[in-house]
Amino acid sequence: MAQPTLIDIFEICIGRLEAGESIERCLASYPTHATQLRPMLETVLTLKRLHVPQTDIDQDRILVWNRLQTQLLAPPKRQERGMRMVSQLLAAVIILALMISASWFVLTRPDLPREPNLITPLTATDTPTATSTPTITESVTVSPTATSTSTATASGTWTATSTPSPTRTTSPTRTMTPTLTPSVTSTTSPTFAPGCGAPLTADDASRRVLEIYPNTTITQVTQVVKFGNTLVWEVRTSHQIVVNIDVACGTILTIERAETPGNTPAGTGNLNGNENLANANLNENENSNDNEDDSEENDNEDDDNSGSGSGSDD
Amino acid sequence: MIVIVLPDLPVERELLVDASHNDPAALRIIYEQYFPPVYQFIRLRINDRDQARDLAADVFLDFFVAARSRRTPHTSLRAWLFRVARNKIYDHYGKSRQFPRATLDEWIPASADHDPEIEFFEAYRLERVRRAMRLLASEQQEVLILRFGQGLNLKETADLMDKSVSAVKSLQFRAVETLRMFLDAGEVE
Repeated sequence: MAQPTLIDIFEICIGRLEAGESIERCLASYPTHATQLRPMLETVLTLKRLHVPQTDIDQDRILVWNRLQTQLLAPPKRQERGMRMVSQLLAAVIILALMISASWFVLTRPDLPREPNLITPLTATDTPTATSTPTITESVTVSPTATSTSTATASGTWTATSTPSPTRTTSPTRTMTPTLTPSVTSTTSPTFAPGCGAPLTADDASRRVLEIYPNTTITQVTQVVKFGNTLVWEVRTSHQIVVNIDVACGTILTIERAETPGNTPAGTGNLNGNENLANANLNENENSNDNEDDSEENDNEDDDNSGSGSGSDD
Repeated sequence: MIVIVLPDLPVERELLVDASHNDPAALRIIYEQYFPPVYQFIRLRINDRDQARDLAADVFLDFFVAARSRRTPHTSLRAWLFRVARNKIYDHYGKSRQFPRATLDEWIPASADHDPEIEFFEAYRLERVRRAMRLLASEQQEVLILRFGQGLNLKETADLMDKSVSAVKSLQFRAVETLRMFLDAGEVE
């Protein structure tokens, strides 16, 4: 077992002094270190007798306690803290109420513009037959004599939807349709039954027919009212097929054989005694001359014919 | 003779529990029990009595606030209070830790004897010790005050001074040895 160092022996003796032993008795246990340890232990005993005056301690103890009482333990402090909490809560409520009222005011201001693309539902939702009163219809007219690049393609498919035909013109007339909208009061944009999305265009209707009859060509697309006040795209094909498609929902309502084959003159779209809203006469010309001169957009879809037909017949 | 109150730990725990529930009686008992040693520790390190009183008040204010928020120590309240007091002392003197050499002026002998002659010689002897202690380094003064003035044990002193127990043992040994050397050399006459 290792011998205790002088530092350890000094600590041991300090402990024994605190336990009540005398210096001599402790030094008797360590006679070899007695000469060095004796004056140090006497100094320790002297240090233990040093003290702050008791009167100072007593006076300051009372003073500090009274100060602590006033600072921490006094009841008015609690009330003050409680009042502070209440006032903070009240301020938070007021701020919240102001924020809510400000938001309400901003959201309900009548002079603010409405959301532009809102689709307002119709009152009668079962049959989406209603349209807006000032119906702005795009009348796409292709002259029978005009030749378009779309018809000049080798595949013979009509591709008028993605890129307009060169001769495609938008009619400047905006026609009112009082007979179609007897019950609709909306005046801004066409409204359709909810769930049907955007209204079907003539191009969409034609494309839909071509999906069914890919080997035919569209001879006439007419917007009429049929089937109990339903706005319908009447699409006639070169195979004397008439397909009626719901404008609002794009649903194919009927497919029927045309009564008079070859009845596709432009401007004769009065069907069922109703007024035409739009005529989309797409005349396919197998011997197209790529007449693009009249087109403002000049979208030549058929790059293969660009060299052969660059000279216009017009 | 200095009488250091060493509280019974189970009682101290009960007092702490009651103090955490803001029991005024428990707070008062703790205060009465620990104010004297804490105040002495501060007073022996701070030259000014008013400042020592303010620092002691800050120490117990911190304790009361901690007790209310249930942040009281779970082991040794005495060590906790002395640590707070020590930090306040260092805050008072700044990080330079340049303690004034005159802080021990207040350190007077406890009046154990009533014989005037004995008291005179005793006072003379203690005055020499007091002057010798002024010559010690601040850390040596502190370890002597904590160990022999306040009766903290080695572990408490080591925790308070952020040192190991063996380091405190060595430090106190060197402090007493140096103090004795000053006394023998007559530098404090």
